[in-house]
Parts: sequence; C-alpha cells; structure tokens
Amino acid sequence: MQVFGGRSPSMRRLMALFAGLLVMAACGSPGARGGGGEKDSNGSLRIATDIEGGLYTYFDPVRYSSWPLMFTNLLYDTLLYYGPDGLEPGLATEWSFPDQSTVEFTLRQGVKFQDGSPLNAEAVKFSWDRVIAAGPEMTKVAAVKALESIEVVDDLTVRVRLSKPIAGDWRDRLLFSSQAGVGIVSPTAVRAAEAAGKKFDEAPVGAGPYKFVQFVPGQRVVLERWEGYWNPAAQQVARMEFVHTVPGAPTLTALAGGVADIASVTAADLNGLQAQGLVVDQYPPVFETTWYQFCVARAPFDNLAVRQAALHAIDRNAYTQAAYQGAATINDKFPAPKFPYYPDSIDNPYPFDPGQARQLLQRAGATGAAVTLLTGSDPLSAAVAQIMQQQLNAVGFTTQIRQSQNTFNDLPGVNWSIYFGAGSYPATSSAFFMPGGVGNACGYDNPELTTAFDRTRNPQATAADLDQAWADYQRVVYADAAQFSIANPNDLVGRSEKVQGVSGDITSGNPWVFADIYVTD
Amino acid sequence: MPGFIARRLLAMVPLALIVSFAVFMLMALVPGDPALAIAGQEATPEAIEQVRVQYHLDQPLVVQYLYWLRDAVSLDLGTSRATSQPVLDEIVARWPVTAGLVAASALVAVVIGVPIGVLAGIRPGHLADNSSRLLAGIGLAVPNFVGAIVLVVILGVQLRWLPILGYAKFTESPADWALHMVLPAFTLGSTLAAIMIRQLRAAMIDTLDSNYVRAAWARGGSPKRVIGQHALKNAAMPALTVFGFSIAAMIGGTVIIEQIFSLPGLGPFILSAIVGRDVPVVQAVTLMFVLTQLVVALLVDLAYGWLNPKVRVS
Repeated sequence: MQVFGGRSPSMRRLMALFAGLLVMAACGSPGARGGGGEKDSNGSLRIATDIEGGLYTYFDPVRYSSWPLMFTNLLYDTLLYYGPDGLEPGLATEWSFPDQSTVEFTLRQGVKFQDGSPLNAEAVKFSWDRVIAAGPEMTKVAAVKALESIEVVDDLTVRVRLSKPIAGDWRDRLLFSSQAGVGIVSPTAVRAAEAAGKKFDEAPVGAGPYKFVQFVPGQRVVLERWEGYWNPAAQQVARMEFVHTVPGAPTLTALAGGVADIASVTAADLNGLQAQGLVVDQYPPVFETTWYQFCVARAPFDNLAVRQAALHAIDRNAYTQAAYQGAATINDKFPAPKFPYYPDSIDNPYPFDPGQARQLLQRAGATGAAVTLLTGSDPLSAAVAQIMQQQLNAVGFTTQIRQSQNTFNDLPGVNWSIYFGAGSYPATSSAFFMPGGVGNACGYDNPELTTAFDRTRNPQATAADLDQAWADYQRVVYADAAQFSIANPNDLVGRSEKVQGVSGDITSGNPWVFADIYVTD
Repeated sequence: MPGFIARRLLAMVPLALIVSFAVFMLMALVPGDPALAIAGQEATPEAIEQVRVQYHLDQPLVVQYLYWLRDAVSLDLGTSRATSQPVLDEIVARWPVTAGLVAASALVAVVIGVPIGVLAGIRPGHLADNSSRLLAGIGLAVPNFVGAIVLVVILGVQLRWLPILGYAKFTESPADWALHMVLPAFTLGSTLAAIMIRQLRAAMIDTLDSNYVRAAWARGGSPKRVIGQHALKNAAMPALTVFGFSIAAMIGGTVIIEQIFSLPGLGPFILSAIVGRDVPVVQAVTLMFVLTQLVVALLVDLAYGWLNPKVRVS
C-alpha cells in the first residue's frame, strides 16, 4: 500500500550526484609532497613501517624473540657499521676474534647513554648478562643463544665467550645490529626502572642517535635527536616518527596520503607509487638472498643430470620484468649481488639452453617427470612459480605448484621437489644446506660444501681468504647443482620528494643509512 | 527473565567447548610442524625436540587440547608460541579496538539502513525506493576491502577529509575516535546496511499492507503512530534476525579492515598467529569471537521480546 503520494523518481539526479563526487575526487590535490627546498635540520621524518613486526612492539632487547624492529638500531646504535668495504667502527673502534668462540672489541671513548651515564665495558657486560639470564627462549638466533660469558678486560674492552665456535656469525651479523637482542642498554636506567617498579620497556635508554619519546601501542613510535650523540653529523633530522602500517596497500596509502614520508615498499607497489608522483629508489640487496633448492632425496632430482636439465631450462631474464616488474637483479649465484665477497669470477655452467635441457632429461629417462614447486602464497612468489612452471614444462617436466602460507613449516610434511627460499647469510646456509639444519628436510649432505661454508665463517679469515672461500662455495654449488638462484628482488624505498639522501635500504634502521637522510622544507 | 538469561549463558559453555575443540583440531590438521615455527630456522634438532616437549607437541592431540583446557578454565589462555607473551594481555589490550569497530559498524548499518529501508518501504516505486535499491545493490556487490581502498583513496588521499589510518582511544578522545572510525566503520557496516535496507523495505511494504495497519489508518492514526508503533515494530523482526547473524560476519571482517586501516585490534593479531601456527593465540581469539557472537544472539532474542510481547519469555 502506498502511504504517501508522489511523483516517479528520476535516476538522473542520483547519477549526477555520484558523478559530482567523482569529479571532486579527481580534482582533489594529491597533497603537497614538497621537495627541492633547503635542508631542514629541525625537520621530522615520518616512516611507515610495521612497528609490531606482526606481533608486538618491544624496546627492551631482552624481549626480542625473532622480530627485528626498524627503530631499535637508531635507539641503541650498533657496535660496528657495515660500509661499502665491510665493517667500520661504530660504538666500537677495534675488534678481533682470538679464536672461533671468542669476540673481543674496544669501545669508543667518551660515549654516553642518553641519560648521561657512560657507555663502557661494564655496561656491555650488564646488558648481555641480562640476555643470558633471559634464557635460551629469549631468541631464535643461534649466535645470541651461544652467549656464554662476558668479561670486562678494562674500562673499554670486552671479551665475549661463546658456547659454540660461531664467532663468525657475530662478525657477519650481530656486531652491526642491535636488532637481534644485543642492543646495549643503560644499566642506570634499568636499575632505576626496577627500583620504581616499572619496566625498562616503558622508558628505554640506549646510546643511539635518537632517544625514545613516545610509544602509542599499535600506532606509532616517536624518537628525537639526542644532543649528546658521539656523531652529530649522522643526525640530519630532529625527530623520527614510525607510523604503523602493514606492507601493501596501507603503506602505499600512507605515503600517498602524506601520513608518511618514506617507507620500504615492494615491487607490487611500484605502479601505485609512481602514479602518485612518489619517488622509488632501488638498491640491490647485500645480505638478503633468494634461492631454490632441489630435494635430492627423491625423484626426479635425486639424479644430477635431471637437476642440470632443470637449470638449463631456467631463463632468468623472463623473471625480472614479469615477476619483479624490473625491480630485481639477475643473480645466478648464492650470495646476494652486493655481498662483499660475491664470487663474480665463477661462471655459471648452466646457461639457458632448452635444447640441452631436453637432451639431458631424455638421457636420464626422466621426460615427463613430475615436479612440485613449494612456494609462498604472496603475489611475487606465485608469479615466479608460474614462470618456472612454464619453463620447466617446456623442456619436458610436468610441474605443479603448491602454495603455502608458511613454506618453512611445510617443509617436512609436503612432498616437494623444488623449494622457494629466502633469507640472509649465514642463517640460510646453516639451516637449509648443512647437515642437521632444520630446513634441510631432504637430508642434503655435501662434505665439500660444508667445508667451504665453514671457511666462510672463520672469523679470523682475511678478505682474500673470504673471497676464496666464497668462490669455492659457489664452485661446489654449481658442481652439485642442488640449489640455484634466479634473481634477487631489489630493496625498494618509496619516498616523497622532500626526503633526500637515501643511499640504501631503510628496513633495518641501520644508523649508517639514516645518517645521510634529511628532509627539505 | 533472569532464569532465561542464566540458561542461555550456561548453554554457551558446551558450545564454547565444541568450538575450541574444533578449532584446535583444524589447526592440527594443517600440514607442517609447529615446533619448527616456534624454534625458528636456526634451531638445532635438539632444540626442536625441546620445544615439542615444552609445548606438549609430543603428546596425542586430545591430551594437548586437555592441557589447554585445563589452563583456560582458570583464565590462563597460555602464552604466544611466537612471542612468549601472555595471550590474555594481548587480547585485553586489543579487544576494545575490535569491539569498538564492530559497534561503530553496527551503528552505521542501523543509522543508514533503518531510515532508508523504512522510507523505501513507505514509498515503493518513488525516488527514495529507487535510490535505496541502487545503494543496496552497490553495498552488496562491492567487497568491503575494495570499498575500503576506494574510500581511502578518495576521502583520505585525494580530498584529505578523513584520516586514512590510525586509531584514537575512545576514553581519551571520543571525537578523535569517531573521526578515525568513520572510514573503517562505514566500510565494514555498508554491507549490513545494504541488507537491512532490502529487508526493511520488503517487510515494510508487506506490513503496511496488512489489515491491522489499514485498521489503524481507518481509526485516524497519525503516520508517526501507525508507521513507528504498529508497522515498524513488526517489520523489524526479520531485520533484527539478520542483524544478529551479521555481527558474526562483521567480526570476521575486522581482520581485513583492521589491516587496511592499521587499527591495533585482534584482526592482525590472529592473522599473524594463523600463519605462524601460534595455536594458543588462535584458540583464545576464536573463543573470544564466538562468545561475543553468542552474547549478541542473546541480546537479539531479548530484543524480540521487546518488539513483540507475544514472543516475550515469561
């Protein structure tokens, strides 16, 4: 029953209103992005990042489990820095490895914590004794679990003893990071917090270039320039605000909407960023590597000739544009392209040659062999998997793709032939290619590779030794053909034009990267 | 009434047990080794074995579940296997955000859906009705995450009218909270609003055509009395049912919406837990969601009694 009388409605009024909204949106300014002005030494830098690492935010190093957070290195600084030629002094000016289980370093003189107390050997011992006291559950990093004792040699010299001969891991990872739970905390601040019945987490104090100001759970972390820092030239901005976003569209909209000035982004964000007039810088990775592993314990890749056939089927050029949208560096070796000891003198013995691949496969009697690719479910991994599937099928394999939210978890339970992996050296090699490694689900064991790898981890090796060790490692990798690389996604940084001085990936919050970043007015 | 409420609350217990057991078994069916996820890539085989013993992963599944149940009864929801932090602490911190989002979304759905649906039902075939059907169609057809991104781009990025991410506590600043909630709540509530528009429209048309309404008009009743008191109360019953069911969908929808708008709620928390096979977190959060839905269902049943005395429980 019609209660109220009235004329028939017109849809045109509605559509006109909708079109008007769209016109307003199109005319709307994308927002000031600035750029090109003078350096603003009192400026703020807003960084879009996941401040929870997917789970929770922490500031006290002993609360670290396995989630590195970008602001940690800026809060606590690092003992050493990683420059273009390798390790450089940071909070420590000298370092040595008397044996494979010992690390010694001398601290920089005159450095203070953000509360004015001195950073000395006692403070390091205090910090790392807390890590030991927190127990092995505190961390998943083997090199931190191996902390056995910390000895104060003199006011500025520390000797660290490890329970295993893995001082090489400290050289290759921990000495230039505070993210793995080894940040040096102010004993004064810890004791004061305990005396007041509070947690150190609520007011953390380190010796880094930026001090803690504010933490809003799930929202942001604010750090401010600390005026007593030992290297004022490395503090180009006055304030850093870490705005919580998850990777993908939220980060992209934070940059586009002016909520953040800079963020680590992915290849999937490239088109969106460029459409919004934002700048994207690319950097080949130094430590993060992607690789693919054959399961040599079962058919078809228990046969060397079949593995070689698969390698000849891989055309690396096809991946860079199709999967990575050009934001990748082709790589046919295990280490990342910018790794200091990258074995570029070793030639790849498996160039793209589908004819050779088919021949090898036929001779091995494996034409039509079933192959399962175990890959992540993210768009990038899926794209790579599809290309690989096409290339393998073109030479005679029968390939299926098995996607997983957590491929590492699925390693023991899934009947995979090729596993898509990613990670940083040395953890990756230890876990996946060494006997007993938890990721070595197919029981790969090559004594030659193990020997070469051990040489790469020798902390007393010279640069020439390491060059040779990595070259030998790569030779064995090629000879055994049990693992291979295709391309490494570049580290991508999206930023507004007002942010200048970016020289590398910002994901790790490395102080030597942030030392040159500034904002313009 | 108190007896009815008490019986319904008691009935939640076996349901919670069934759901928690089902979730536990589903997680156990996912291929892979949870001990690997907990121990990490750099663990030794001995460390992995230690993890299995510590978290009872070497026990039969039923025994593992009983360990969890024993602790849950004393409100110890366990510690996260990924972070070693108490699960209950995280839920207490995050629950208000998710609950606030669901409440705001429900409010949006009611504020939009009820007036438009009623108006459309009063004037079928007119502009209000045609507009409502267009709106409802869009609301139903467009997935909420697509709508979220479009709204963020237009209203947040281009026009800068609303904040595109972040959260403000209601207790600290209701106005800021509301401002941050507009986009997420509208995104999450739009689908329910669309459903309510269609439900109410159809129910109003049907109800307004009934004999008792004609009688009310014949007795000289005012539009406010006839529509508001007589027609709407009866037309609202099916819409209320749909509303109650949709709360469950909205709770599930918070997982995506909280990710998009960077809201520190339970959504990102349970998402990370599922990927990382963090069973205590998945169990606890799922239980929280289920209990919430049961409470909402109880409230809906009580609301039936208010709307229609004939179904009121004595």
